[in-house]
Amino acid sequence: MRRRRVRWRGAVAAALVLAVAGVWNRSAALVLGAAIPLVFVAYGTLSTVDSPDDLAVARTVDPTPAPPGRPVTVTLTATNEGERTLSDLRLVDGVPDDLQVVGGSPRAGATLDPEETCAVEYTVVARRGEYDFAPPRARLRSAGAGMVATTELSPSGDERLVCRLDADAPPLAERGDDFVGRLTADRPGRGVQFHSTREYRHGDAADRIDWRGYAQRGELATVEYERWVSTTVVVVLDARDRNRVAAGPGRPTAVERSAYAAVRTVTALLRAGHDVGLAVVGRTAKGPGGLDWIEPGAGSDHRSRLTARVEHAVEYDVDTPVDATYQFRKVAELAGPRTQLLLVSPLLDEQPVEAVETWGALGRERTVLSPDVVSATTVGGRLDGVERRTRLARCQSTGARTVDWRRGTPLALALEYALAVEARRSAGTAGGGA
Amino acid sequence: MPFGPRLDRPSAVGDEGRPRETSLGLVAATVVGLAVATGFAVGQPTFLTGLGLVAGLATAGVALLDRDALGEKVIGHLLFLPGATFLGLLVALTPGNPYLVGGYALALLGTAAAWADVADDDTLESALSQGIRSYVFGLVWLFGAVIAVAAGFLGWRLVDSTVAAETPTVAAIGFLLVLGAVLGAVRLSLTALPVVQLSPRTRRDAVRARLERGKQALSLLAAVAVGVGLLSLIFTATDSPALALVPGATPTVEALTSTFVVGPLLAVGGLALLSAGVAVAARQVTQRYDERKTETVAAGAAGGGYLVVVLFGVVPQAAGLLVFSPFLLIAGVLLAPIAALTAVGFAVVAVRIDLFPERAGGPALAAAGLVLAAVGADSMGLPAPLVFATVAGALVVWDAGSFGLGLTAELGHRPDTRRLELYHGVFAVGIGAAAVLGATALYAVRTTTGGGHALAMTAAVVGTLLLGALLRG
Repeated sequence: MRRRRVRWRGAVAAALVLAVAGVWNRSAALVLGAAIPLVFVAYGTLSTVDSPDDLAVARTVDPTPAPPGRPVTVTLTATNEGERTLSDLRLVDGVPDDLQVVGGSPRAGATLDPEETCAVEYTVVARRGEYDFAPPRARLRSAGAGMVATTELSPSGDERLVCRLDADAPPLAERGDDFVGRLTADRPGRGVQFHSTREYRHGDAADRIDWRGYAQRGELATVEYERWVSTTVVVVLDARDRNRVAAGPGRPTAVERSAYAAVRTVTALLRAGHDVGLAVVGRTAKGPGGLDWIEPGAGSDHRSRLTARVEHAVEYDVDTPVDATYQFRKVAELAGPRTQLLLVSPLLDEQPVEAVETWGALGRERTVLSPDVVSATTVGGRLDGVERRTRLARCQSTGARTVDWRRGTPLALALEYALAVEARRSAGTAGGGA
Repeated sequence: MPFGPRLDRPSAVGDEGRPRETSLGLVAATVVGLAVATGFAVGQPTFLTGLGLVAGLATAGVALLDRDALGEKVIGHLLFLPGATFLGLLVALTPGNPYLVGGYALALLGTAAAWADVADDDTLESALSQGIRSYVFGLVWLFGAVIAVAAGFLGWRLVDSTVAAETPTVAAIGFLLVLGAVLGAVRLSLTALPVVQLSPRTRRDAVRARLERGKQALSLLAAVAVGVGLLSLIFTATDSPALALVPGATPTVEALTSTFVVGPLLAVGGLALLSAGVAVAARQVTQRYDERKTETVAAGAAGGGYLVVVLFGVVPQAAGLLVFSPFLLIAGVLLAPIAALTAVGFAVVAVRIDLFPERAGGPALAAAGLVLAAVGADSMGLPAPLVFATVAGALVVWDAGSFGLGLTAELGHRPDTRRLELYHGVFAVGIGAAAVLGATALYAVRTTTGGGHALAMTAAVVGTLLLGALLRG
């Protein structure tokens, strides 16, 4: 679509003023000067522009699929495949309305010589769901900026950002966990982390014999590795309405981030050989006592069930009153005394802290994993942040292990630090934070 | 940022309307270059550039008045109205063609306004209303200062007559009035000082009660001292020697009215007033105001600032320049700001009726100023190429300035568009240069051929009008 823009009415007025002043002053210079604005007017009127048909556009979205809260880089490149210079190209990418641009700009202005390329790079924060990008719009102007041609382009490459809770999570059957720089050590006495050596006993595997020590001292010894302790864990997802808040427009809600943390935790625990169950607090379901509950179990199918239930909890948006205190108490009843409870909550109010205290009074092992969704750029947000950290400290003072998942810290690192220590604890030291 | 800090901020301006530094750099270079060239042509290189500083300060004032913080608003007031007034006076007092000087003043104002992005009607209207308010407050401060000076003078005369009085009755009356005034000042300071707030929380009730009793006692004593003093004035109207008849009264009154007693008394009174003033000012400054009250307080503070500017800036300068005439000074100080505010009012109306485009008001003002300056340059008989360059400069200023502002309106301030702006700017400057060369060549041909017929000029004008009507911009 091409249209002409009026830019030079002031120049016509200037020409008239100068002409009249020239006559008034009887000045030839002014009369001649009156022609100068008309040169510009003619320049603006006569310069034209064609539609940008020779513009090739490609878009990349990296990474996709992405977990909620993950910054995603979108790059739009435009190449002038024609033979004429595009003197004034303005390019605007069609960012989905629900996504927030947090870095860079989806717009660009450039002058493109033939075969030259310009790139628009910006960052959005992923939110759970699938988001289609609208076609980018290109606008070309003539050299005098008097004519404008606008068109929608069809980019090659990615057209969609997919954000899933189980993004980045490897399949359960693969060897190795998703903790950085370490392989699994899922059998007692076997693994890679050295613990100690002991006297060789008949039947010990040959690959566990300390051959170097045998060469030095002539005595057979068996290497002991640190052992993983298999246990039963129930992940408690705090999905109450109170937590359906975000740090800013276009950001994932606290429930979305908690759900992502829950899925990653479930995956990590299952791959470490634990039995994992799930309880969702904040919604009414058909489980025991109205609780959304999955019994602890193991295996790929079980993980799929857990993930689907967490997804369902995020989508659940029914405004019905739920007695969260009762549900938290019910979790402890259902889980049993030997089961560890892992609460995933943003700790935006006191109820989860009271639940942790109650579980502590019942003698349950507890871990609190808290995603940080509080904005630190406002006074109110800072106050909320102080209150949240105070709640974390209160949880810790009751003997619970706490994991503060700050924004910008990969969840894998936080989980590695917390869960690995938990699994390896030989003595039952209570409490601790990460 | 190649052209120095800017007054607008992304948080204040948003993505839309933020000026582009490359385009506006070209605009500024064009305007300043033409001003310097014109200065050389008239034999005074700094002929017009001095206007730039004042125009920039006045525009900075408008931009700061658009902010929310109290301090920024006060500084905005102190820059805006004095700057605009001074710019008007400079234009009126600078020798030379008024079109030339006024045109360049407008061009510099327009350039500064484009940089600060303040040429829209909301900003100008806000500056106008706040400027009027601060002007009224300035008048209030002026009258208040006159009254304070008069009171001080009377007080000084009273003290002087008290200390120097020969009759004990007159001295005693003076002493009583001085005592009453000092007690009143201490009473005032007790109201203003945060005595209760600074005392321990547990003792506040007791301190509050004691303070109330102290205030009542001070009020009573002050009233009694002043009342007795005023009543005793009757004795001065009679021939009665009054106090002189009381044994021992004369040496007592002499002792009380000596400098050693009156001096410390006055010091106590002055200190009390000073501390009360500081306490009130501190309270006002540290309060949280809503938008409207912030504007009022800023205007009030700026009114006092104007007084300081006039007393320590304008009066010594006027005296030093040997143009000191109280009537002229008062007329200049009181009437010139009204003229400046009226000019701003016209600017608001011009933007409102779309005489200037709202989005590109700065470049439009700068271009109009240069066209005016071209007419003035021709009237002064400056070289024709300079006149042509000034006209072409006006078009370059409009083209580059409006292009840059439109660019930000469309793309926001984040993308790097320097190459795009330079590409457009080079074309604009090239066409302007070609037009100037062509016009100069035609002018030279006309001069050498001894042209200048009225018929040819009329034909040229008619041709211009026809071409303008056909192209219509």
